[in-house]
Amino acid sequence: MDENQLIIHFQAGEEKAFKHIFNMFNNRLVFFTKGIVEDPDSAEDLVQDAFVKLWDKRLNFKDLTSIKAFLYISLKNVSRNAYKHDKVTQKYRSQLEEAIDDNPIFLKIVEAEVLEEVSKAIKELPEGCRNVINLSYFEGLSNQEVADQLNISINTVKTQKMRGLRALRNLLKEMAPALIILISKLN
Amino acid sequence: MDFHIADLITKYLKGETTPSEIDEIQAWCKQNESNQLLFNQLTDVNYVGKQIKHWEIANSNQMWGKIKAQTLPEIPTRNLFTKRWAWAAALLLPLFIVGALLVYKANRNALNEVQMAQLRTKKANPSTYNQVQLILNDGSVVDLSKSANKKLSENDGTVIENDSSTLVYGKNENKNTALTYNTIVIPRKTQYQLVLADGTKAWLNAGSSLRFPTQFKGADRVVYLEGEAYFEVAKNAKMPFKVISGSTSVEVLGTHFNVMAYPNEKVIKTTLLEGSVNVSNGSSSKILVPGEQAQISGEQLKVIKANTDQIVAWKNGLFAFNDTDLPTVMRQVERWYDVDVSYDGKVPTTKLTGEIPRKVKLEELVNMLKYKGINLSLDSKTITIKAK
Repeated sequence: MDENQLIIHFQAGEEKAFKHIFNMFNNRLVFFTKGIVEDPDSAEDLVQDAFVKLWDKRLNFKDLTSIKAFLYISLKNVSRNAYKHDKVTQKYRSQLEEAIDDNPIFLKIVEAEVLEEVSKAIKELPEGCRNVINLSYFEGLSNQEVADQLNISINTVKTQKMRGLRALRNLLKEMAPALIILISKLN
Repeated sequence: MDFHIADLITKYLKGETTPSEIDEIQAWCKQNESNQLLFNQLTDVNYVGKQIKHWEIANSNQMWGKIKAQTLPEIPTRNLFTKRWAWAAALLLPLFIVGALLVYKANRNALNEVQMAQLRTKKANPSTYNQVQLILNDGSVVDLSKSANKKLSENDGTVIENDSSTLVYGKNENKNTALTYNTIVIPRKTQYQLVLADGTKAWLNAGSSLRFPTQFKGADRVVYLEGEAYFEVAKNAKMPFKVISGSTSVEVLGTHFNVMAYPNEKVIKTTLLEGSVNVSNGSSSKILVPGEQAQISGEQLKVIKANTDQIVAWKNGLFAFNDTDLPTVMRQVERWYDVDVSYDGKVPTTKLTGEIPRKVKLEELVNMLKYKGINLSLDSKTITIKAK
């Protein structure tokens, strides 16, 4: 389903399209909300509310970017209101109002967006390659440990790692020299 | 909102940036320290690994369930419109809307007769206002005022639409033979309209309840009424429509009639406006012709000529009395204004004739009755009528 079709089906009130949009944005919105509210436990509830609000206003959106922006903005506004209800903050609100800097919130959005893309890139890797990447880069296991855990040969671990490198070249390339040393040692 | 810098950093991580884009990222990092710090974090494999390790929300199915409950009907809309009847329903919808508008207009006109300005300044007290409730087959209770404009659904697949004054049951071709029952409870001070799955319309008066199947199946269409309702039964010669109130049963094939069967009314009254009905109390039965009213009181069944306009005036937002005795008038007042009426001494024999819009405030109604020579006092939720 391309983006236009998805939007049309969403606006027509189809569950499948709505769920697709939910899955598309849920992880990053929860991450974002946890990063900007005082009580991270409330993040999931706030995100749910934002999706309900999105549903009510669904006829107003022409593309996914405006849907995404709407979701981030409504969550940002909710967190702002939460600050306003805080009594201590209330006292200094007038002075703070202008000083409140949107940049930390903006940076949280940048972070959520980039991490979503990284996780998507890893998810798009073939399963064998993805497991190797997860264990060796993100869990910090050695090639031998990865090979043992996944019950594959060291050579497979090495080739899968090189393949994974291509998906996130710059992110993983700092690790590459270490990897090469490791490979030479194992050989 | 600008996602440009996030796109650039993602591109950078994938090694897809052009030299000018790298310049752009560098310029952004130089703008302030926090930008630079974030860039450093996002290019640090350990940091990124730690963040995305738990990226998938474990709870997402539950979250979706809660969102769904607040937005979607349980049946996907797409299935709804592949069915022929759904198109028919869609085509009929304007008719319902016209009907609703007519009722609304009638109420508006009625309101014009009284002093609008006076009414506007006095608002109903919401704390004493009970809500219309729907009891589903599994026993769960839905507050219809809170779920207005939302679609509900029963576990037999029936979609129920609620627009805050009307509940509409969609027809459903589920072959399951078991009947699924819903009960709607209308508190005092309010009335509600219902469209059943066969297209039959029911207007329910204050202080009433109706138990009905979400889909009609089998040999007849049976509903159970306590209180007062006006029915416009959809014609179906093969499946008689029956209204059961205590020991009284009214059987019809397709017609317009009103049943009043409040527990505190001694007489159950069935009034026919159109078509024909068969009224029975177990021991005897009578067929009515339009304009007739059957009165059942215990074993007794008698038929009289009735003023049908007056009988169904409530449906159009009016109290209508024609030489009506005071206790009968006051029982309607009790139900509509949610008050209790007590008599201090002998009950006055005054008879009342005329129409009063139901939108009139209780205080005004009390004044009207005083003007009629009735000695009564209103104390919060109790009206006391004194013998003269």
